[in-house]
Amino acid sequence: MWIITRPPPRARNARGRPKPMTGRCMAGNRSTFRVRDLVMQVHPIPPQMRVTDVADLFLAEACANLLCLPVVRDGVPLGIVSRYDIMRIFLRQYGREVFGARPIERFMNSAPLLVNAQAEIETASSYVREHMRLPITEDFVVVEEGRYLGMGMVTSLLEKMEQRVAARGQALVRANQHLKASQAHLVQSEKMASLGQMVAGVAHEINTPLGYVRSNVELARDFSQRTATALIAGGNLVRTLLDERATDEEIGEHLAVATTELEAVAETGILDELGNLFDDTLHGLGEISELVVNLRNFSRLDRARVDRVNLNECLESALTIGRNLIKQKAEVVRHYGDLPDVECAASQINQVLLNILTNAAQAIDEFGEIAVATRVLGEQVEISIRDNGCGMPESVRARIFDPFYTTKPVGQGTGLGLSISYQIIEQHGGAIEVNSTPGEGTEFILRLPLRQPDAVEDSVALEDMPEAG
Amino acid sequence: MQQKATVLFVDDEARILRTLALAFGARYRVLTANSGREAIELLRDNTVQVVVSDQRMPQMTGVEVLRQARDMQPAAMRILLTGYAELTSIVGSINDGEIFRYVQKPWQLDTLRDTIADAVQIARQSEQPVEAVPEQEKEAGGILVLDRTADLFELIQASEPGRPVYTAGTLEEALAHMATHPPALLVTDLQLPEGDISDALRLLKARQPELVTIVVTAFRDTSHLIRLINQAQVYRVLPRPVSRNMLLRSIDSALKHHALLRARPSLLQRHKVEAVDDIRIDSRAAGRVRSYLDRLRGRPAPV
Repeated sequence: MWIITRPPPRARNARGRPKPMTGRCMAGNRSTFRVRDLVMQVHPIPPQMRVTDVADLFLAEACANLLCLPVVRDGVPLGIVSRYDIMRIFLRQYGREVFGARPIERFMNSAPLLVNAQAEIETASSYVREHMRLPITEDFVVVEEGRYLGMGMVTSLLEKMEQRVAARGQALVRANQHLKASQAHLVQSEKMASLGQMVAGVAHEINTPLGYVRSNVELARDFSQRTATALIAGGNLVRTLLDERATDEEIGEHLAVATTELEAVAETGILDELGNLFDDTLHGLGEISELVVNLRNFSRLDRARVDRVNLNECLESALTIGRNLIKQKAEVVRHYGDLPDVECAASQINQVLLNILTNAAQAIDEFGEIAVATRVLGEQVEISIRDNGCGMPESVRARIFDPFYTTKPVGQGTGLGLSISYQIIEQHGGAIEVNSTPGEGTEFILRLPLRQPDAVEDSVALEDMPEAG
Repeated sequence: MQQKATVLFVDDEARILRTLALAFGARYRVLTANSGREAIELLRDNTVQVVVSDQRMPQMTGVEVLRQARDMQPAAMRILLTGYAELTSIVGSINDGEIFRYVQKPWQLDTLRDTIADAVQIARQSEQPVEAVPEQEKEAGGILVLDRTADLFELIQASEPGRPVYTAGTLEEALAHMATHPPALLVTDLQLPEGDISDALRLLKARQPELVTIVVTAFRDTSHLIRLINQAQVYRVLPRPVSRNMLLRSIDSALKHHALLRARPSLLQRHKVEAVDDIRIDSRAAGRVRSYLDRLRGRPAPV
């Protein structure tokens, strides 16, 4: 009898769904599925077989799953005959009686779908889809070098394709994850780079007050030693004067020493300046603490992620942190409005402000002006940062928020600063706008809502954002 | 009694000027300027022996102040006193400012006192106006190129026809060559097969002050470059890859400078280097220099 075998059934899970593909089938693996992998061995029927015998075959248990049977002579496929074909014969009046004994080759579809065993699944699939007659009554014949190999079921082709798509989907998910990770990495590098710049800037900034504080303390130390010597000489003189036994000679000696010492003290010129010297020293210590406090405020490491802050103070913080760069490029003019507190991730907003301020300073060739202004606009606060630097043409302006876009020489900018700034403002539900005229200057306008939606306040959306140190 | 020497301090921070005036007012006539512009005005009206300038100031940097000071009063010694160790200001202070010392803030008062005292003394001793050096003087002396690759050597050889240009690939070779043909000018990279030769340059300059050195390097370590100023008095530092014009301009200027030093040996002390602690220097390269210097000992100075 006819022997019909199926390929071993694919492993299925408890719900009857095919288990996900494993190993070599996974994404990234370039190995391809070929039609050979899904071929089903169906014993072909000879062209001379009688119609009724074919009909009996279709009724047999072993063929219960088959839509059609291949007709083959000497290994060469001639056509296929489907249940549908048999049904049409038998549905005619006296169909079985009239046609039952005739050979099946007169009723078969002699132009069946032939698919090469070496064909890739995708190719086969699109070929079958294009040439398939509807409704689907037949599967396709798998051939190898023109000879019959077995049958291919349209459904198993579909199944394979589905798995394929799932695998691609997974690959896409992974690629997406990878992309996100590298982006996070870049954002982190940018953050570290700007942090490094900031720390270096502040460290240098501290060197100036440290310079005169140290010098003043050294001067005061020398001066106090000198004064002490003079005091002792003075004391000796007084003692000698009070001593009845002291000779004029001794008094003269002590007088000379005391006079010399006092002159030496006067010569330093420090006595008159002592007040200033200590005032300057205290001022310098104040400057140093202010820088340190600003550094801490700027980073807000010790504060809640989302906080209510006065943006005027944030601007001052950023101006202090960036002072070393800004002071030699521009005069800063402030027009601060009376602002209510704004809900935001302050460390991020500080990072944005510093970024825009340093860009403004860098845009100025010799020495210019940076004007910062704030005001309330309904439920928003608006910050404007305007420089009278070189400005930029529209072609540059249109791209400045693009990641990796930079006009600075290689190695001097990551091209991420403004793109990150843009993301930060967007995540806050704010807007960032830029107007620029080449040769005249650039203005950045930031708008931030006074309140963050509850969802944001829970810092879900802000959680992923880079944070300025 | 000799008149007090004049020292000009330039800083945009008034408190720095005040403390410096207090520290040096007893010994020198101290002038202070709050900006570069003010400093230039003071230089126009006063003869000064030493200019000490901050680097980062609004509108005019310290390097620019010192560059102009060099043109206005070439005899004055120039010192940069700065809290910022940036590459551009360091390179600028070498190439444009031709400074004597690069001092970092916060300074130590005693050290700064010594540095300024040194500078004042040197300025006093080389005060006579510098007459033009006859053109033929420039022709004397060869150039030694110490570099791993040949490009610098070929470039210099092609552009200095008639002048002996030698090349050496290692410090060893260079020292052997220098023992027999003391060059007017040494053009060298910092990174050689022997490693970093900064220490060697410092020793060489300490013992052979007439050697004019141009360093061509891709190296960007600021503290290193500061030591090259203070302890090796390198004449120029050029970034690698080097611009042809910049190199040739520097060589021309270095040869003139060498000729000047030969004509006026009193100028040599203007390039006096900071005392180098020999014990601290223990690199292989430095050892080679020491043995080279030992071999030289007893010969007349090759000036």
